[in-house]
Amino acid sequence: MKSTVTCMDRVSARIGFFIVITAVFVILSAAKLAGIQIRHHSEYLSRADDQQSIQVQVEARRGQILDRNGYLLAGNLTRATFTVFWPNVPADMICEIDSFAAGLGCYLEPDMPLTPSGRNEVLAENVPWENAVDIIESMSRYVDCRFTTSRIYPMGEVMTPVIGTHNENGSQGLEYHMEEILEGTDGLNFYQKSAWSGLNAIDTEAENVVPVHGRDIELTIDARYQEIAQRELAEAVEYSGSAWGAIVVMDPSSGDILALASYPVYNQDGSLARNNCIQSSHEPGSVFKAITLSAALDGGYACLSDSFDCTSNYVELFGYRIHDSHPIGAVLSLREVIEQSSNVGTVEIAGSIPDSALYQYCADFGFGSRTRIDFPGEQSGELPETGAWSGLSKANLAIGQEVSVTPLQLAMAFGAIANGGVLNRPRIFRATFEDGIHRPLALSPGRRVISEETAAEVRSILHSVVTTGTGSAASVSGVTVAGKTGTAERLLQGGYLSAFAGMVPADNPRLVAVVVFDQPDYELRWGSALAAPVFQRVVSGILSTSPEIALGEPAPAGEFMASGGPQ
Amino acid sequence: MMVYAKRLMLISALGLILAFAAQLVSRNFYIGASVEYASETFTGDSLLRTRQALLSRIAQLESPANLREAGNALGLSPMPVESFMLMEVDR
Repeated sequence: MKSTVTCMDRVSARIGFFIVITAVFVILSAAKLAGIQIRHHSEYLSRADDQQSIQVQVEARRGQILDRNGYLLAGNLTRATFTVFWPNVPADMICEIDSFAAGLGCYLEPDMPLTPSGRNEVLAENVPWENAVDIIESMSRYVDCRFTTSRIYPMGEVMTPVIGTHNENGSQGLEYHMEEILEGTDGLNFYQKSAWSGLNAIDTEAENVVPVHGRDIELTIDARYQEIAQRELAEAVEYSGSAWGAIVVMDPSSGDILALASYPVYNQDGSLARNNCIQSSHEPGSVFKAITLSAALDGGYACLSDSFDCTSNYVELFGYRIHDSHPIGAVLSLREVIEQSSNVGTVEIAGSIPDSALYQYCADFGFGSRTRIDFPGEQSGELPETGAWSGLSKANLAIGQEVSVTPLQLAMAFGAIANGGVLNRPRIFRATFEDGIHRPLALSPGRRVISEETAAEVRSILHSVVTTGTGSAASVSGVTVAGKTGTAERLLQGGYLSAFAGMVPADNPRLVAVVVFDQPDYELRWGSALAAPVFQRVVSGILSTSPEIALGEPAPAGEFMASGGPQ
Repeated sequence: MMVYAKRLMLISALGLILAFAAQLVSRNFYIGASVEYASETFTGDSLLRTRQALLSRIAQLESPANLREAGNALGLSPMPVESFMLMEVDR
């Protein structure tokens, strides 16, 4: 009996001991759990988040740039690079890498030995996104895929003078100027990674940030006109040995810039060259006689019936002689002075205009001040005030010397002559897109600089320049052209400048173009020899793509279309 | 007294199990939705990138220089403007 009790006691003691140990263990565990769950809750939570959560930056799309017809001028392209981590690849997985590489097809790096090496190897680069997405699905865990988004310009260098460039080194030109609109704000997503399935899930309770994509921009540029102008300009600059060339094409009714061709596109060191249409100024030469003529007619200082003695072929002022570029030796009417581009006759016309009036007309036409086009680095040119004039200044100004202008200023001034006397503000941005909604930008109101009658008279005389005067090389088959040649001496740089500014159709212009070449070969220095033929080729090209410019508006009553073909 | 305590404990245990099950279900729904969200985000991004790539490709194919070259190769040089005329059309 005694021994039985002793045995039971032992069992009870063991059970009691076990219960106590278990209780202690449970209490300790509970204390530890309390420590984890209550005391160090936030610390363990953040450690768990760090292990499970992955922050992924969501790239915002850069805004696209479109031309006035919706053609893509600057877009974005995502490309993938596949890299294999050879040091991590087990021997039995090499065949998997081989089959994956075979799936890369034409994108597989040529001469790439598919044998394990001690380093990481690039399997394929520049794989387009649409192909990479398919490839990723069969991607081995020993292969890494990285995406890079780059800017793409479908027209290549043709649009570079207008748009500029954007790459990993930064932005230039309009790409830089419109950075705030084009550039979006990257987003941020918090992904949760599963330990066993590898699936990623977005943690919707985390502070995810939605990316704000950049806004698209629509320019007033017409890609077709730009291509024609840039191609003709590049050929002519190379052929003529010019230092640079520029062509501006614009719509005189609105001030919309349709083409801004500039050559060279890049400097010798590879940096982006300036756009000479806006960022270079030059003496305009005889092209400026159209402004002198406008001032004389609008102010009533001269009329079409006036005649001017050009028999001596020179005019002497303060001991200096200003010659005609070619001997004329006759008494010329006002129309003939401009037709023949007589320096002597133009100086005589300017003699009838008071200094202040001539200066004011030039300033009203926008010379000497920026046009305020939305383009970086615009030059204002120089128009000396009358107080700084020498005795020769008025004569020189009248024939386009002692003044410097940009090709864009010339285009805008000729635009005013073309549209009946209103100087418009040039516009290069037409609209933006916000959430896919087209938001056109308002036109700035123009200001009248000459009367409609004066503008019509000047256009008529400029038309004569092309039909019977120095600008005959600018005539375009099938449409009337009005314009003025110009040959200027480059006083600082040396050499000459060849220019032509014109408009079509002459009676109701719908297109103005200015062509400028700086320091061409000596024998090609005349505006009639170089700039006028290039104007003719550019305008012919434009009219062949847009015959409605020459044919006029369709009648409002019916529907009309331009039809081409053998007549 | 013991009966009430037993019932209370049973009800508590049942409530606990139900709450656990409910949390399990809702957590699964949440994870499922999160996975779906991630998947849709990727699909949306992928479609956007593909769209941009295709737009670029279309623009390259339709670039004025390409069209001019193609036209020249086909013997379709640009016509002078006098070859055009305005004609009325019925639509």
